[in-house]
Amino acid sequence: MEDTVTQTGLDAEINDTNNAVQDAAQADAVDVAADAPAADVNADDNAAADNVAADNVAADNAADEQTLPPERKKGLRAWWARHKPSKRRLIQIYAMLLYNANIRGFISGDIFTGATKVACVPGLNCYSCPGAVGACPLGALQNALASTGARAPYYVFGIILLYGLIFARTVCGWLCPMGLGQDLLYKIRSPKLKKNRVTKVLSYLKYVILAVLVVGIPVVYAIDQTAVPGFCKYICPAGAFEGAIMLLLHPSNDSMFTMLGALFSWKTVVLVCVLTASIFIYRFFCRFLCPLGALYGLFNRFALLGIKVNKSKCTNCGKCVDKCKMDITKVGDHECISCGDCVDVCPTKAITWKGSKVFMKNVDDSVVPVATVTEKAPTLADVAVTAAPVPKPASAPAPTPATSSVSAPAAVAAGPKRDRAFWTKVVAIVLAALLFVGVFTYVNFFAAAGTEATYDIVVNTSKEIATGKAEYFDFAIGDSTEYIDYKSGSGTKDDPYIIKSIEGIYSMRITDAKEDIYFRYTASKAKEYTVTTDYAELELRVYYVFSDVRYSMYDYRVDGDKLKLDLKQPGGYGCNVGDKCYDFTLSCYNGKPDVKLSDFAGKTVLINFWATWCGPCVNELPAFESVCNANDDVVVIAIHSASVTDEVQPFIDSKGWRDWNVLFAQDLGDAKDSKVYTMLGGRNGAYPRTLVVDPAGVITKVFNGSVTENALLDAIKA
Amino acid sequence: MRVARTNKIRFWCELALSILSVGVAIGFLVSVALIYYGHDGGDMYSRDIVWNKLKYLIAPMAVWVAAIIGCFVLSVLFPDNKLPKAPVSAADKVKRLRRRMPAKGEGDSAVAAARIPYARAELWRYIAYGVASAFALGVAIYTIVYLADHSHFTSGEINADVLALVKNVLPFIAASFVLFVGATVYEWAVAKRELSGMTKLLMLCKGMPIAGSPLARKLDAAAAAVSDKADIITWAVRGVVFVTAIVFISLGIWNGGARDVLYKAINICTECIGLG
Repeated sequence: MEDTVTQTGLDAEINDTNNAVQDAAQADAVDVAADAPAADVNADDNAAADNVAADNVAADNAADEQTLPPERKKGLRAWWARHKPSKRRLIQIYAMLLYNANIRGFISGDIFTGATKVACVPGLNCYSCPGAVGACPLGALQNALASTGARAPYYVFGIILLYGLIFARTVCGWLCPMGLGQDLLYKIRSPKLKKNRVTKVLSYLKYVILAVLVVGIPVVYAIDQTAVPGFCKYICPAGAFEGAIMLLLHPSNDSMFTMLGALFSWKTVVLVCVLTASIFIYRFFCRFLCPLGALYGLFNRFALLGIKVNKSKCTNCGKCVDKCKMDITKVGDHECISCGDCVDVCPTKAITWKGSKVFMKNVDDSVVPVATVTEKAPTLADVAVTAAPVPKPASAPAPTPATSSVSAPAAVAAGPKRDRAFWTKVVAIVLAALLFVGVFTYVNFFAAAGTEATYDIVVNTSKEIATGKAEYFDFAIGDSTEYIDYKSGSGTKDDPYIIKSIEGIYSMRITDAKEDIYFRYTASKAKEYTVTTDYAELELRVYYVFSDVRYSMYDYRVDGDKLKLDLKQPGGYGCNVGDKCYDFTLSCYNGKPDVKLSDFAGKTVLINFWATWCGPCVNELPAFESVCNANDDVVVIAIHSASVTDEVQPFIDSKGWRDWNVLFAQDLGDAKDSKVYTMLGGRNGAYPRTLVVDPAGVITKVFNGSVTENALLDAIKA
Repeated sequence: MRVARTNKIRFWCELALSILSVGVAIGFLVSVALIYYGHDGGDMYSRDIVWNKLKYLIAPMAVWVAAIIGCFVLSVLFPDNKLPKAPVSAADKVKRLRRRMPAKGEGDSAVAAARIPYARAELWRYIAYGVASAFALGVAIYTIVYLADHSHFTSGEINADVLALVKNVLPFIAASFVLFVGATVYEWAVAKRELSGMTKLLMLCKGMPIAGSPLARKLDAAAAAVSDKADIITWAVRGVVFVTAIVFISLGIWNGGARDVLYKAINICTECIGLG
C-alpha cells in the first residue's frame, strides 16, 4: 500500500488505540482522567471540551501570531507574498493554455480541425471551443457510449483508464480549466459556505449525474442509434461557455444566433448559477456536479500521482480533514483532488506526495514511527504507555522543510538531496515549455496551414474549346496580368500548374482542348478572392485538399464575357439566404441513382446535412420524410457529410429508412468531385443544417440546428 | 479593538460584494428570461436582442469588477486578522473516536455496561443510515428500470422524453438525498450524547489490561503478517489497469473509435453544446 510505507497495520492499530487515549485525554478536549468519578464524566466532558477548545483556539492564535512570517504584515509586498500564484495555480494556468493553444481559433471564430483532436485532454475542456486542441474526455465518452451499437467504446475507456491510473483526481486539482475558474471565483471576497454534512451528502450527486446523464441516457438512446450526450446537452457549463458562448462572441458566427432557443437559455441559466455558486462554495461544480471528477475519484486509491498518508505516522488528529475544503472523509479518498493544502498542516508530516521518494529520497524517514512492535500481545494499557508521546530518537534526522511545505510532486527538497529535486524540477519545466511551444506552434502555424493550404483550381474547357466555340480564353485569379506559360500536357491532376502565392494572381491563355486543367495554390480558406474570365460558360471548380482527400470548395459558373465574380457577392453563388445554390452531384444510398441538384429545377429542394453520430440530426429526419410525403413538389436530399460513411447504409437499414422518399446522399469528398458540405455547410461544421432552395435555385431559408416539421412547412410556403 | 473593527469593515464589504455578485447573476438570469419569454414569433436570439438586454448590465458589471478590485485593495491595506477557528464539532469528534472503541467482548462488566448507551446510539445511527440507504437502493433500482424500459424514450422528442425522465425520477432522487441529509442531521444531533458514551468507555479502558482480547489477537495476526502485501496488491492493480488501458486504446484505434473521437471533435453538434 502506498499509504503505509514503513509500518504495518499493527503499528497503525497501536497508534489508533494510542491516539484514542491521547485524543480522549488531550487533543479532542475530552477529560478522561483515570481517577475522575465516572458519574461526573458526562458533565465534565462538555465543560472541559468547551474550555479546552477555547484554549486551543487561543493557543492557535498565539502560535499564528508568533509564527507569522514578516511578509504577512501590511503592505503591497505582504499582499503579494500572500497572493502570489502557487505552483499549483501556475500549472492550472499552463494546462488551460495548453488545452486551448489554438489562438488562431479565437481570432477567426473557427474551431480547430487538426489531428491532435484525436487525443483527449485530461480535464474538462469543451472540444467545440475555438481554442481547443484536444477532445474532451467526457464528451468523447458520451459519444462513444452512444455509438456502442456500432462499435465498442474501447478507445475512450482506455484513455480514461490511463488518465485515471496516472492522475486520478489530481486532474481536478491541477489540470482542469473548470477547476481553475472556480478557484479564481472563490477568491472573490465574500462569506463562504464551509463544508458540512449536507455538502458531504450532496457530493454524491455527481455519481447520480454520472450514472443517469453520462451513461444512462446515451446508452438508452444508443438502442435507437441516436446520439444524445445527456450531460453535454443539459448540464455542462464548460460547453455552454467555451463552446457556445465563445463561438457566439465572434462576429463571423452571427448565423449561429438563429439556432438558439430554450436549450441555450437553460444552459445559460445553469452556467450563471454554477459561476455564482462558485463564489460562495468552494468548487461547487467539482464537488456536486462533475461526473468526470466522479469517474477519476474511483482511481484515487491506485493512481500514481496524488497524496498519500503514512498511517504509521498519522495520529488521526484530523487537521488535514479540517483544512481541506473538499468533502473528504480522509485524505486521499475519492473526493480528494490532491491540492496539497493538507501537506503543510500535518503535524507529523504523515502526508506526502506519491512519488516523492523518487524525487526526494528518504522523505518518509524524516519522522520516526510513533510506536514499535512488541512481541507480546499488547494490552490497551501497554499501548497507552508504549506509545503515548511521539518519540524521536536523537539519531533520527530532523524533518526537512521541503517535506512539510512541498507543494508539488517535483518540489525541491532541502538538504543533501536538493540536487535531485532541483534537476527534476528543471527537467519538468523544460519539458513543459517544449510541449507548450510545440503544440502552440503546430496548431497555430503548421496544422492551420495544412487545413487551409492547398486549393486546386480546375478549369473545365471542354464545353467551349472542344466544341470549337472558341479558340482560347483567358483565366485569371485576381487582377494580375502575369501569365503562366502554358505547356501542353501539363496542368493535369498529377501535374498541376503551381501558383506560388495567394496574392500572386496569375492568368493564362488556354487554347488547348482539355477536359480539366489543374492549378494549385496556397490560400486561406476564409480568403475572399476574385475570379475573372473573358469567356462565357466557363466552369470553374475550386478544390480544398486536406489529408489527401480532395474536397470541392466552390463550384460556380460564370455567365457572360468579362464577368467579375466575387464569391461572397450577394446574389451570386453561396450558402446563405439569397445566394444561388451551388449545383452538385452525389451518389445515393438505398440503391437509388445519383442525385444532381439542377435536375430538380422547378421544385423546392430541402438540403439537409446530417450525420449518424449527431443525435438531433437523426431525430429530425422523420419530419423531412413527412414533409416530403405531403408535398409532391418538394424534394428532400439528406446528405451525410461526416466521414464515417461505411456505416451509413447499415444505419439507414436499421432505422427502417430504406423505402423513404428522402434521398439519402453520400458526400464522400472524392466521389463526383465534390464535398458539398464545404460549399454549403457554412462555417465551423455545425450540425444539423438545412437549406431551403426554391424552384429557381435560390436559397430562401437556412436552418442551423434542429428544425421541426411546421418550421419546414412554413419555410416552404414562404 | 482595532482588529475587531477591521474585521467588521471587511465583513460588511464582503457582504456587499456578495449581494452585488448575486444581484449581477440575477440580472443575467432575468435577461435570459426576458429573451426567452419576450420573443414574438421571430428569432429568440440575435446579437442585437442579446445586446439590448445585456447592455443594462454593463454598469452593474463595472461596479462589480470595481468592488472586487476594491476588496483586494482593502486586503492589501488591512491584511487578514485571523478569526478564531470554529471548534471541532461533537460529530467530528465522534467520527474520529468511533474506530478506536474497544471491540465487543473486550473489558470487564463495567466496560460492557458502559458500551450499552454508546452502542444504542450507534444502533440508531446505523438504522437511520440503513433506511436512507435502502431507499436510495430502491431509487437506483427504479431509475434503472425506468431507463431500461425503452418505451419511455420512443416518442421521437428527445427533450420531452428527458423531461419526463426528470419528472419521474428526480423527485425520488431528491427524496433520497433528503433522507441522507436527515440521517446526517440526526447523527449530528445525537453526537454529543454519543461522545459522552465514548468518553466513558475510553476512560474505563485506560489502564485496563485486556489480554487475549480480539484486539490483541488482531495485533498478533498483524505482527505475523508483517509484509508489504498491500503494496504488491496496489502495484498489481496498477499493472492490470495499465495493460487494460493500452489494450483498450489499441483496440479503439483498430476499430475506429479514435477516428470517431476526431470526427466528433472537429465538427460541432450544435444541440450537444447547448446551442439548440
